Amino acid sequence: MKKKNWTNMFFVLPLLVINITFFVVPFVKSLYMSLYDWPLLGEKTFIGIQNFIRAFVDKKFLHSLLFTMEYALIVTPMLFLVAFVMAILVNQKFRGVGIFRTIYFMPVVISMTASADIWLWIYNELYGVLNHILLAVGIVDKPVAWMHLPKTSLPAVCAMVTWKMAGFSMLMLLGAFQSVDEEVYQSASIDGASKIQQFFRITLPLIRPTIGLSMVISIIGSVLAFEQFKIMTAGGPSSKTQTAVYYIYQTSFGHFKFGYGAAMSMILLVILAVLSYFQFAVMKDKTE
Amino acid sequence: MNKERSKVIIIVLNILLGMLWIMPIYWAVVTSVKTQKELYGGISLIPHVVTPENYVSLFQYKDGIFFFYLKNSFQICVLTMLLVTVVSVLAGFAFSKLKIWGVKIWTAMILFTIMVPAQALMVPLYNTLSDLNLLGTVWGMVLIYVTFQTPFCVLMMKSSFDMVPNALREAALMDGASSLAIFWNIYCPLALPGAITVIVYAAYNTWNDYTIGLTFGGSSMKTFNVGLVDMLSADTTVNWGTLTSGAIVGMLPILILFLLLQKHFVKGMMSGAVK
Repeated sequence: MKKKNWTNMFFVLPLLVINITFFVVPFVKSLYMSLYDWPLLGEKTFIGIQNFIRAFVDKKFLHSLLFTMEYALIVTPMLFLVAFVMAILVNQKFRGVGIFRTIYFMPVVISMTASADIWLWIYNELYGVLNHILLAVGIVDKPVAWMHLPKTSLPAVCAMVTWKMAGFSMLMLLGAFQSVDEEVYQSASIDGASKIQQFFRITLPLIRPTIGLSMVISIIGSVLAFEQFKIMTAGGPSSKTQTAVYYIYQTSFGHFKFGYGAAMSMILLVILAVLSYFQFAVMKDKTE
Repeated sequence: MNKERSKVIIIVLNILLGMLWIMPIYWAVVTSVKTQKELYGGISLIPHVVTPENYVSLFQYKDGIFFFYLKNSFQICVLTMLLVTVVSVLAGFAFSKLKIWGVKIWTAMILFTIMVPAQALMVPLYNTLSDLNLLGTVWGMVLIYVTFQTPFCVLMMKSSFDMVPNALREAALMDGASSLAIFWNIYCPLALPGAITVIVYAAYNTWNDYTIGLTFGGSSMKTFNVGLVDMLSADTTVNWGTLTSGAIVGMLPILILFLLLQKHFVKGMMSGAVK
């Protein structure tokens, strides 16, 4: 078993066959397709980099990129703040703390589809519980049609995603809190540092890499956002809440412009590659 | 004294936030068992009458099409879980304990796959599935899920096998055991916790998926989530009792799995995202 022999290859063969067929080949094909005008049926024509040029002047695509960025920039800090408070609340010793950890994590477990379904009911204009409460308290004087305007639908989707994903970042931060050595706190309090001083001077600097990592993960997730908008706003009104992945999806499978869809996917991949570079940088920071 | 007080404050804040966090799920459960009259007649936290009628109407919808969706989802999910586990246990073992040809290339390939999300390859994947006549088939879907789940699972299994000392194998070899017997009798049982994490990871990602199902399932392999969204966004005659009962049915299997295997679940998801 020590020497390289061909029977050993049988162990990796299933992985290689599947990965090459459904990843390597499609990846190369994607580069190739992006250089073609490639409809579902009929002639494919080689058009060079025209799909890429077109993407950079396509107002709808640029708008979808901007909207995706806007979404990422709103949801990431929102989610982080909630997760941070949660992590502090469950980084305590009292009986039943595990129950709260489970409750905060539960929305992470269920699908985006189920969450979007539930929240659409909460946001329902006439019968939704949110409007009932807001009307009763007197914050609004007539029911809000949350999903009709980007001004309200974007924050509403962000709130749903925060509810759904905060438990995830919470666990990352909790892990970081707990990895700080008890002795550091002990010696700090002997030196007369208050709890608040300890938090800002010791805890925060030590968990900074995890904070960075959880933010980068959240940004990468937001750049890939599709389901939440497809289900909750259908990209509307008039494509105003269409994310990049959503627009690519619609171009490729609604209008069957495969070449153009592949080209835009390539652009998205470059954006993701830059973000992943940041992720690695942060993770390296973390292990050092 | 001061310490006691801050502890009470922490617990009270937890209870408040916990209630807020559980509320949407609770609200969906309550809505799904209310009568239509109560559903649209204001806010009641506890239903006056508990009725199964919404669940009945969900499964009667379009002659029981949700049975078909559920069957598809279960079939795809179980096959994906099996295949992901087999592929990643075998490859993880080879990466950890065997000398294989081209190991650097394969490792780079796996890492690269982890970095590229399926969302960015939908067009060529559609094309590949179409060439292989796999669009709208159970195997077409399963193979896509397997492709994008195995890379992480292989790494997970590799680190599981790494923890088993090599001395075990050498001792068994001395006793004249074959390499297959060593793999099966010695390593597999020891790598079981890793394998459970892999299984749970596959179940979570497959059951909860929407995008891949939507793009490659067509109508012949429509999954539960895709069917639910169809009903949710295209059919205005369906009431919210039925729509929320759909969400409950969709989340129940995975929530049960989570409550049973919490540790594995969390481990799979956290290391899956951080990679």
